[in-house]
Amino acid sequence: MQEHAPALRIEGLLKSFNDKHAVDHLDLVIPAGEFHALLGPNGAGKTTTLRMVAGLLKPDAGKIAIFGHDIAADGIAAKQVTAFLPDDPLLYGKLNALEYLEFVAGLWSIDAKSAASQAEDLLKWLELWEQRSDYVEGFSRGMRQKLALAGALIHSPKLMILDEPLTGLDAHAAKAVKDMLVDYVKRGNTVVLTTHILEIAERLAERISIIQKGRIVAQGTLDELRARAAGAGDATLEDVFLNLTDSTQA
Amino acid sequence: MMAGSPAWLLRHELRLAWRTTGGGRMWLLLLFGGALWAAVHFAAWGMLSALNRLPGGQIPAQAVAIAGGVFWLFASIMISQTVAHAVAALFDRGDLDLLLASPIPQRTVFLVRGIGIALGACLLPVLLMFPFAHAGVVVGRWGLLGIYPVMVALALGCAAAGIALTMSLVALLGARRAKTVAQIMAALIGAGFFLLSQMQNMLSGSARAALSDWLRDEVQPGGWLGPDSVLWWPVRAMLGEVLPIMTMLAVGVGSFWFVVNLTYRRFVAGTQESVAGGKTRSTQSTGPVAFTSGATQLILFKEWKLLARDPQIISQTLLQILYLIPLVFLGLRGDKTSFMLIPGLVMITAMLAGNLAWLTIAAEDAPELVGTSPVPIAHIRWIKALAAMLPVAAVLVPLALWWLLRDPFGALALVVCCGGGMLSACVVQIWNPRRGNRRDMKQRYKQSKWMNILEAFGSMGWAAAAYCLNGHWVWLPLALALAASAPAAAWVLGRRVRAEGVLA
Repeated sequence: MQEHAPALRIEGLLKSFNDKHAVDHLDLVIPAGEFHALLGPNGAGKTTTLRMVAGLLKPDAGKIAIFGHDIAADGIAAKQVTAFLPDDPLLYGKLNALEYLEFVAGLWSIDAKSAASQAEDLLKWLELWEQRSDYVEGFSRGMRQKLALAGALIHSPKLMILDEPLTGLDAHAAKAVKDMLVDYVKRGNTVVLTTHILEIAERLAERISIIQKGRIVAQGTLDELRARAAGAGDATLEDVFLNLTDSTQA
Repeated sequence: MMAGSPAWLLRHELRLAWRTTGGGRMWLLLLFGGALWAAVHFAAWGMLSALNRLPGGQIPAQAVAIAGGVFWLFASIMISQTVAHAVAALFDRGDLDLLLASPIPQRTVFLVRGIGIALGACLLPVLLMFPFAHAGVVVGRWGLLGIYPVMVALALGCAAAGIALTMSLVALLGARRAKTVAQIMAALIGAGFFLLSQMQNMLSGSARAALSDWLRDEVQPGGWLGPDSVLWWPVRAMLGEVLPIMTMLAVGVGSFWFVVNLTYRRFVAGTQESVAGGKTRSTQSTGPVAFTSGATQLILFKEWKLLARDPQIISQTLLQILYLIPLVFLGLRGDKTSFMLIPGLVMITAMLAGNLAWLTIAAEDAPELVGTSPVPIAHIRWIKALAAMLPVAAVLVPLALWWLLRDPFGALALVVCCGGGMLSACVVQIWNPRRGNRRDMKQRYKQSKWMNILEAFGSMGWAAAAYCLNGHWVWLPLALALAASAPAAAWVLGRRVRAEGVLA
């Protein structure tokens, strides 16, 4: 990991599907230790961007570097410090919760002993310990989301990329996850999160990027975005978001 | 047509079936099917005309017995299909909640679904049998119009049997397990008939003679396979005899009505149970948590656990192993023709390895997890291929050892060609990775025709090589070239997919 390198640097990122730009020369720099929210209307290119950052999709052009590791040239090193949690995580129905975490820890070459102890802590914290021997196929949507989160955390990533992480969680679990993410960032780690629940971004994110038609149309703290949107000082993020996306659409 | 009526609901079912079956290509399918149906009509007319030229024009008793056997074979296959259709209607379709929550009587919903199951199952027998009824009218055998009521009775009776079997399984095992068992049962009925047809190859000489003697006695008048046996009533009904027709209709329609009326409440209960998820399955884990290290080992264990814990996959895999049994029996007899079995073994083991490799590589359940891990994806795919090949090798090794004692060269040919066929099937998956869903294993060949062709070419090449090793050396280079063409083509065709980073 390179000293002082930003957690994520994206330059000129381009991805097209059927000659239509899903991500259109997108630039983004997120410093280490920041809680960053990526907002945008449906089809804006958020998930495509995150999937390219996670190494699941190859860009047509542009560069992505995670803590200085170019995802194209040094993908293994970049992946070693990254966790990606998709909006609808696909898990193994016929593995139990512990077996799933054991497999994830093995992929990231985590020492078996420390992984076992970490898995126990995570499952207890996420209130899945009682179901540790149950096949995942019997889990509810929220339980699956929590297990996927445990899988993302078991290898102690420096950068977490979360696509709608609170979908399907009950109020208690959502609160626990939000607290965990804030604590995780306080310990020097970085979170990049997409959400449609603007209140989450408003409360948790230090900086926000608004993406539309594959480009960043606004970026900054909530106050900076309020100023950019020329709204009143007490405008909510929802007001700012609607104002900015309306004005760029027009 | 009144909205909410059985006819209205049936139209809805048929529309869905129409769109599911053929989609935009349905008209092409109908055109081809129509031409085929016309050909069957012509063949039926030819057969019946020939029959009319026989002295007396009577259908021989043996022909009635053979037709009766075919009828019961079709009936068994239809029941297995109706079980599969009932499982789909009960568990897999997403519209039941909507229908059962609507003000349409639940009995109507179940009745229409039952008719849909019957129609789906009887399609092939109807296409094959109706031409005989029509040709019968042309040649003056009006009695053959009895085929119509018999087919109606057969479809309803088989649908009733299939639904009743499915409902009994739900009552006994719960919704989730019933689904699995019903799928396994449907698959095994087909395999059972294959093994029955191969019985002659598997039995010893004395056992075959005893079976022939027994059959000869039973087909005599008075025997339970004799010409007057009730077993052949369906054929007599198709020939127009009134009492068998009435009996068939009474049994078919009556059983269907009985099943619909008595079990629809259980059907609804089963649906609710399946929605609720049933009993949670788990593994034993009471002691302290202990993990294993090593990505290779964990990937292998993960793949084997996923294969072993899925009864549907196990049943389909065992089904393929079942087809090996007659070949193994012939091989163990140890005569000179044993070497000729190696090509067959190569084809079957390659198909088995190809199916397992598709499950482990293409049907990866969590592609995002695997794709974002720091283990190179190519490395993961090779481990997954190993996970697919090792279980097949475990089946093959005892046979190879047995062969080694009698014919070392044959054993070497078996190992090399089966190994080559399996590797070829796996390499196609590795070099031309396509996403799949393990639930669609039976339809995997529809997903990529090229993959299908390449796998077939690879296994045929290695099977041909095995044939050439038995003294036909001059053709060996050609066979090996064919075997090598499949991985080579997979490499070329898969370049774009691999470059795109599409995950398997």
